[in-house]
Amino acid sequence: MVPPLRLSPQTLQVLDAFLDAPKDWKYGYDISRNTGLKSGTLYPILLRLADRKLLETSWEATEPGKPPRHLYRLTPNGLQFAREHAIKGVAGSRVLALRGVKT
Amino acid sequence: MLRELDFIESDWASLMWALGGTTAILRHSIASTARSWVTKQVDRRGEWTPKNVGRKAAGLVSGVVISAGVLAFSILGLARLPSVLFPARNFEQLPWLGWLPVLVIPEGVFVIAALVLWRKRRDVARGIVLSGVTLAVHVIVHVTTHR
Repeated sequence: MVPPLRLSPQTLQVLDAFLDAPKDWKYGYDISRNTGLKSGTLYPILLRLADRKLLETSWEATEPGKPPRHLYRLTPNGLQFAREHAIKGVAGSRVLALRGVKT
Repeated sequence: MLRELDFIESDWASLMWALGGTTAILRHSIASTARSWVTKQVDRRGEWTPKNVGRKAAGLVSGVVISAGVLAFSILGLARLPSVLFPARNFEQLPWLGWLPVLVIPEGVFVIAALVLWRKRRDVARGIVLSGVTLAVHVIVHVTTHR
C-alpha cells in the first residue's frame, strides 16, 4: 500500500512547476532549474508523485549508445491534485496548515 | 537522471547532480527494502500461534529422531558390514574406514535429506541440520581433545 503523500513545501514547488505548462512533458533537470531543488531532493518527490499516479513518466528515445532521458507530466488526477493543493507563496502554506495538510 | 548530466553546463554542477541522484536512488532502494522487510515480518506474525509452534517443534523433533535413527543404523549396522561381507580381510588395518559409518555416511545422508526436505518439510529438515551440526561439532571436539 502506498502511504499518503506528504505535502512538503518542496513537493508544492514541484507541482507548481508542472502547473506552468500542465500538458507538457518535462525533464528532471528543467524542473530542478525552475524550482531550485537539487537532484537528491527532486527525484524522491518525482518518484513519490509517480507512485501515486499523479505523474506519468516516459523515456525519450535518443541516439544509440546513450541512455534514454526520463520525462514527466501530470496525469489528469495529478493536474486536479496540483490545482487543489499547489498554492504559491507563504499564504499557501498557511492555507494548507488551516486545512490540516501535513507540510 | 543519468542522461541529464549531458545537459548540465558545468562539471561541478554535473558532479553535484550525480551525487544527489545517487543519494536519491540509495535512499529509495533502502526505504523500499526496509518497507518490504517490515511487511514480511508483519505477515509472518500469524505464524507464531501455539498450534503452529507445536507443529514446528514436532517437525524439529522428528528431524532429530530420524537423524538419530540414521546415525544408530550407520554405526551399529554399517560399521560391521565389511567384516560380515568379507570375513577374510582384516579391516582393522584401515583406521580411516571407521570414520565412514560414524561421520561420513551419516553426514552425507543428513545433507541430502535436508536438501530434499527443505522446501516441503522445512522443520524436519531443520531438525536434521541441527543433528548434523551437533554430530560434526561432537566429532571435532572429540578429535581435538583425544589426540
